[in-house]
Amino acid sequence: MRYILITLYAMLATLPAMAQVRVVATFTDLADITRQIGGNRVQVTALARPQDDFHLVTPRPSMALELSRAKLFVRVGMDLDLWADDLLSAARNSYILRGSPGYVDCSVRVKKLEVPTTRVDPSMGDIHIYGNPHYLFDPANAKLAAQEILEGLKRVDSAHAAEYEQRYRAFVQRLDEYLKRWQEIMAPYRGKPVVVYHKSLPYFLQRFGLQELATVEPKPGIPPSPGYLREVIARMKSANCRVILLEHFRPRRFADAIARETGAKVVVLPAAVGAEGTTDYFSMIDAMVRRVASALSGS
Amino acid sequence: MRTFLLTVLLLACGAVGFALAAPDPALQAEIEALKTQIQQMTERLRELEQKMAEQEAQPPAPAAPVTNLPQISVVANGSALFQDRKRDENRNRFEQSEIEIAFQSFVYPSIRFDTIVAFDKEKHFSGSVEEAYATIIQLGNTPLGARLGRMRLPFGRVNPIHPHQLLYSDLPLPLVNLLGDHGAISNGGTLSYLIPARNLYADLRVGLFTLEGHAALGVPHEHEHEGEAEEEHDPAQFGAEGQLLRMARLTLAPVINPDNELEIGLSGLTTKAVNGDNLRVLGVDFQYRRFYGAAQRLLLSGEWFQHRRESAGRGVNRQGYYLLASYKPDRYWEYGVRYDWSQRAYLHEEDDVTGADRALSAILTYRLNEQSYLRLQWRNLKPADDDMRNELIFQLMFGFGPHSHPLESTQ
Repeated sequence: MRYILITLYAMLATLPAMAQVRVVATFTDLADITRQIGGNRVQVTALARPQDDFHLVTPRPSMALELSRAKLFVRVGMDLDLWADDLLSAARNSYILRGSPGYVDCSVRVKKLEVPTTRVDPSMGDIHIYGNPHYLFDPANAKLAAQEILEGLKRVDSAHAAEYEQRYRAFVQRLDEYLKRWQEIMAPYRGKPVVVYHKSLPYFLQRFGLQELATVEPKPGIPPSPGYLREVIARMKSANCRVILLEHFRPRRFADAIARETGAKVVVLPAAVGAEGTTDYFSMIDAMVRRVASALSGS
Repeated sequence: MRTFLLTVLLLACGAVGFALAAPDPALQAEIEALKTQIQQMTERLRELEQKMAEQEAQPPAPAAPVTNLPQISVVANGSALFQDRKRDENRNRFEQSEIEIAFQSFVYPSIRFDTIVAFDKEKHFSGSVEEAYATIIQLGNTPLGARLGRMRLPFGRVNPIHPHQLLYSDLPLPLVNLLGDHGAISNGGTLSYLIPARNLYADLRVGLFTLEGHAALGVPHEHEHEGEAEEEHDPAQFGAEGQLLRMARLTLAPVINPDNELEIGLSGLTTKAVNGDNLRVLGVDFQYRRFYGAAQRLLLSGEWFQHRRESAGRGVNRQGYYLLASYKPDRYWEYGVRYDWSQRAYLHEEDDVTGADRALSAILTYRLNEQSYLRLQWRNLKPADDDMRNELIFQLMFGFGPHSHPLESTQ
């Protein structure tokens, strides 16, 4: 009996140490980065599916349920995941509301591109008023996002702060090694023009020195007209541009139509962890880099 | 002799000097190549330094403006009704039905305030506050939330939702016949409890309200039929305007998987009519959504209502339901079909209409963006007390701003 009681006490005493921090991230790339920082100390859920369009995620009761139990909420910010705001209200969890310890906005340290300097309205399409929010396509910004996640984890689980710091440094070191390798792969293609479907790749293009020649959408979120497609085709032929980049969830028909006329290659990029067979943030960016490099080498 | 030796010495020095001065062609070539490379690199370095200087000279990107303003949204809802029978005086012309202006903001940590001012065609576009309520997201550390103020009665699936957020241009017949043709607006409050359950979203909401508007709980609007004398009704005594209403709603959503979502709702309300009749409405609703690719979605939903009036010891039940199937193949288009069947609420024996109204609708929607859309809806309507008619509704909905009802939405 005494031994049973001792064993039971020992088990109960270790329970707090075994409890995981429940984290909810808006997208799968943030969820993966959080797992890499948190290790087995965190249980992470992504609200959006890998195949979802970032801008069109449908809020659902099951998402509110996850948020109601979360100790940390991690978001991209810059209005990309605006759909999450009303979920936060429905979740009845004030610990993860803006300004609370469990709230993490990964965009705060990012040097933002394409911040509007004039008045914006829907005549310009779906414009993000705080700048282009697709900053995670530049691996250097993943370090900044990881830093915010680290600070969040340290706030909600200070007992394991040292462990999170160590994992963060390992993540950054690994990312620096990968970044160097990716830059070597992309070095021969600096300055090359590409066409993108939507204005979601400026950070990626800037990092690897590519030039955005045109977008398939005339304005963000607006489908192209036949006349506009002809313009894009003419520009591609004039610039000898042979590569069209689009995220895995975009419709292909417009890009394919352009490719038929120009002989260009349509490159589908995995824009979320879990898409196109990717398993983590590194494999996602790696796949993006290699597919773009392969297409540019053949052009 | 001396001269000879000097000459030989001079000649020898010259020969050595000549030998030393003669360059190695290969070495020369290598030196020239290196010089060319250095020149190219120097030029490239100069270009890069200039580019860096230009970038540094650019003004820094402005930070997000700091303001203390609420979120402001504007929604303009207009439609045109075409009928093959002359039943509506506003047929065959396009009219602005309603303009809404919403102001939404947090006013305190965990307390949010929403105000929606509506300018309605039926009130000659004079402004009125359609909704103005405070939402307490969490009461202390409990899983309780509260909402207080003026709001669309949180009964059923569709009634709490603003018409411009629906997947069709009209209100389903059961809502019009049994709840009210504009839905029910009410003043009061709810307490909501997010029931802690592992793989089940379960939200229980209870509320106390006083109803506004004569068109409440099945009491119809005044209406005119072409060719007939205007009939005067006094619906006030059969409605529940100003009466205390108790309601409860349970929303259940089991966690299935990321591609499938099912919601089931149970609603109930009780109140008394102005004339003392007991009124009770029960509702059961469901919504199933299957998500495919990035924007593809199949939606099946429906509601069933039972309206009961107890008067002088006699109770009369009236029922109605609708079923909707809607498919979105991409982010722009949506196709839907809806069937409505509904009896009319029992008011009194003299004017009672037995039988049921029926309608079949086909709906085509094109979304310009998340806030604006064009819609065409064909409706075949067979009222219980009139001939069948075909209607075509063309709707234009323009909006900007973040005004939305996410979890109550049928999206």
